[in-house]
Amino acid sequence: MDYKSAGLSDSEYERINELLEREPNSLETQLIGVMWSEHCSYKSTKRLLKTYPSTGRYVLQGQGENAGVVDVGEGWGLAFKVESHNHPSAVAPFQGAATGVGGIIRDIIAMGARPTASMDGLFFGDPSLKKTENLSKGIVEGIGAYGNAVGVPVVGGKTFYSPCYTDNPLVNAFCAGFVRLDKMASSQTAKSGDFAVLLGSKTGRDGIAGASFASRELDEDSKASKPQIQIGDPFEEKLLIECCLDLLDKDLIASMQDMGAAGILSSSSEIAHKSGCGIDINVEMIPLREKGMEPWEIFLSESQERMLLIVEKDKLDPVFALAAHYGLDCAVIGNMTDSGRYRVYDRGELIADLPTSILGNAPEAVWPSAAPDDSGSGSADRAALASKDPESDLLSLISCHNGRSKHWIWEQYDSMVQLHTIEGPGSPVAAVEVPDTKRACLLTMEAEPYKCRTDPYIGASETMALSLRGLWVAGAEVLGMTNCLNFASPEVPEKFYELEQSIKGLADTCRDLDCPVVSGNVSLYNETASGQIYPTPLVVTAGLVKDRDSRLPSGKASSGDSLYIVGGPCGSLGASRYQVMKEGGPKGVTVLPDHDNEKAFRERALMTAENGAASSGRAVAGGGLAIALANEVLASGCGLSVKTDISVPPEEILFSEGGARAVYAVPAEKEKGFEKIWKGFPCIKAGTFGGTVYEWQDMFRIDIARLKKAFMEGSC
Amino acid sequence: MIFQAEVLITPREGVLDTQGKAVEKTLTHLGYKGVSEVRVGKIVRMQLNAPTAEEAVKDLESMCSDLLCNDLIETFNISVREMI
Amino acid sequence: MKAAVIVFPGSNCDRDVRRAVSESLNTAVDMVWHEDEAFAPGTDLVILPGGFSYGDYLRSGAMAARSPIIKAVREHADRGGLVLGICNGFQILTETKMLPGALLPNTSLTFICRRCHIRVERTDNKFTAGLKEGEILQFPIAHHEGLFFLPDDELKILEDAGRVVFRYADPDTGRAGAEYAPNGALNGIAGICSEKGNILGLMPHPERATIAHLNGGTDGIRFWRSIAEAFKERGAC
Repeated sequence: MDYKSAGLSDSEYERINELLEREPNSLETQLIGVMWSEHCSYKSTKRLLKTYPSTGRYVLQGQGENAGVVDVGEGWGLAFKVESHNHPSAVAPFQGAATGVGGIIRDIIAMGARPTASMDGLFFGDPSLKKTENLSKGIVEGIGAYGNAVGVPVVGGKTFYSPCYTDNPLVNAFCAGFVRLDKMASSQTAKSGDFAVLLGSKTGRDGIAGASFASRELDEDSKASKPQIQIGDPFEEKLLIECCLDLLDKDLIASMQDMGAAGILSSSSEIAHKSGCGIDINVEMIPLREKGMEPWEIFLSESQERMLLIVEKDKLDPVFALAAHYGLDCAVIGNMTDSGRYRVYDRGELIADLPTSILGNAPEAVWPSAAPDDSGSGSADRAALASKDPESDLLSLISCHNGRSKHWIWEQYDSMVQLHTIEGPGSPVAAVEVPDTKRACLLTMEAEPYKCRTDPYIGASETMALSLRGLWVAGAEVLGMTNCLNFASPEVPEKFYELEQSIKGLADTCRDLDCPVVSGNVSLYNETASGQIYPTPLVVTAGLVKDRDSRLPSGKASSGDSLYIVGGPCGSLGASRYQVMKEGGPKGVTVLPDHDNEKAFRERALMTAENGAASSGRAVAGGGLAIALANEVLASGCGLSVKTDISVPPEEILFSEGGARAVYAVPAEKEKGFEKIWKGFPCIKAGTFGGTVYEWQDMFRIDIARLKKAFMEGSC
Repeated sequence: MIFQAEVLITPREGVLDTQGKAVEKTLTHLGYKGVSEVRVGKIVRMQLNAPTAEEAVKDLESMCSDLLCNDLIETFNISVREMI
Repeated sequence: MKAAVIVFPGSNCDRDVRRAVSESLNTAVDMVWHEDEAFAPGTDLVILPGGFSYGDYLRSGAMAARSPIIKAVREHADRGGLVLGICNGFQILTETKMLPGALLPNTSLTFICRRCHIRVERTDNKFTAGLKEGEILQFPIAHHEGLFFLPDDELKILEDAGRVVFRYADPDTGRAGAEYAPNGALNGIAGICSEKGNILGLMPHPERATIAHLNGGTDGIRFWRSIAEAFKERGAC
């Protein structure tokens, strides 16, 4: 077997020979080739990811499991993770996105949690192209078709358009679920003598070597690789959810692993390796959907809706009975041993024999890193940025694809099923009820591709800070973060630099601002012949409020409330949405988050929520102050009159981004209390809510009806 | 005898076929002239065992009435072919 | 009032309905598996919940309508017991022919999830007797196939018999009809009942408008209470 076609380099193949003290046979080469692919092994990023802070007060399970778990109190944990499904979605948008949703849901089930909330980070290309319209429509339909059928509500998300994603859209699927701490499942507790049981769909040829597919750039031939696309069956997944939760509830399984990339191979090798066992698998015992499948096809198949269960001998019968009750196929495919070896038998003949450690331990790929000279971190053209017509600029920003309402997307998703959604899509911070308690989990999803393009360290740091600010303003204590790192090829030094610096930015900000990283995913090689994507680290941060009534919502400003702007009126126009609108591409650098400043903001924001010192609030994000206020006006259904006596060019105060800043609506009787809390931090009283107009003295005056039309319909 | 059967199920006349309308609209939009009366339906194929073709058709009509076809909104068309 | 919720493979809203009914009426609710053949003695209300039974494969509700438990549902209805079908449950009831009509794909050909207003058209059945005729309620919708269809002549018979219980409406004007249906339902029909008025099917989800702190509203509480009032003698709560 040609090791190169298994995706192995010369040095990797040499290493394998060293470790085995012989040449691997054809099947073994295939198996190692897939497990050592970037997608499965993280060989280019393992070293960098170790720099993330991964411990914290609330962390019950950090990186290394199917999903991270944080303690939310009263015996509950929140399991959560975000994962990419970029390449499949580019080639077959509906099924690629659908199976992405299915995959992340299974990671949550594998922790013993019932999947209860999902979000999607979608990055589409030039919106004027038919290609983008088709891709985005297919992706949105695929997510809805799967998520709605399987009964997991969508509670938020992020959608972003930029030409760099035209041929390489990104689909980052996030899922979270609550787990009773005494029922948490693990992939580390299998022991010798236990049986390996396959639960769920029969195995077919879907997605074979999809893991290697995800580790290569997309080219024209990728379109012809349609057989590599997995097809999802949400009905089967729903049955899987109910069955697995029932099995756990009845204490019938010791260990569980989702079958995702490289299906049987990765799940069985991971469980063996993490549990410190060996495993023997009998190929002929694996239920097949198609005739004449070769062992390598069976092992690498990415047929969906399958879980690997580790079952003790005396529990086999009840497990089979329960699977039958749910109408699911169930088969013993092997057993755990104390050999430390990964062995594959075909009707008694040993056809692969490897140390379990080899599959999970790809040698690190070390790539050189070089700062690019064209990132545009030079300053933007001041003259080009001057706003001659702030009203027109504001309307353009709020009606353009990145500013307008995404309700056309999320109304296609069930956001209420399971009756846990307190605040759903359309709000900057999602809120989900912790079952049978007064607690609520809050979630933010953020990505800042423009800022990461011009300076990956600062951009990633700002991305993380932004996701935290949203939670702080809502009054949540931060529990942990999951991240999806979407980057181009690490083999190009300037692109590896982006990856390296982004991870550093995230790590430093997480460490300084007390947010552990509990799970995540890396997607590299996001590029085509026409170009590479902007560095796109995406984060989802989870927070907790112990009393859901103490959450500070956005969009609840009332007539008569005073407007307060905290954190200083200006940030930076560098790599802002306004700057890109004016100049066509990101230039300039945003504000590097000052961690001391962020902590001072955090303290006051949390106190504001805890004391009910405001009726509504939101962090300043994309589009700057003017857009944050426009969104607040639209969500509240209430006009606003703003007056700021600050002599800076209009575009700076209206549209600059970055920095720890927020806007609040404060009723008259609470003003003194609010000002007291924000003492020692920039805080200006800048206007009054009310009326049917959104106006800013000397800047613009827009009828709410007109603003709404621009926002809802994308036309002004 | 083993038969290869095909049941073609289409929306009844007079039933709103929004899918059919949407497909017709898109085809027209793509430049195909003179396209009309587009209906979107489904095919159910199966192999079945029956003594004769007539019995096979009777079984299939029964299946349609019992499950495959919602008589209020769909009509069906059966074809069977003996498998060699 | 003793209630039971049927769970089909693929049902998603079964536990939601149990919570909504038990919390608003302080009553226990049985969960009944689709392969069972009977309800517990004394069951008053049988609910077929929303979701994607059998993945909506072939036709929404088609295969669930052929489940073993359906026989018991028919018998329960024949005895005068209450049967409520919500969303997929409504689709299942039409497939069983316990209610007339069919639910076709929404005109938009997309899934639609949002708040929705309906007008109470009739209060002379066992579900809405405690509500006011003409009142507007908000129950969220979440479906892909909600376009209620009947051929014209049968539609007329249904309307004339006063069996349209809920119609999609405009909350500001109080008017109801086809123009307010988000899914293209004929005559804006959102919910209908059987001849005897003891079987009700509706597309909107009352259970999603029951828990105050969630994002679906609270008009569902009035609906559940209206049903419970029908059992006052039995000591409803």
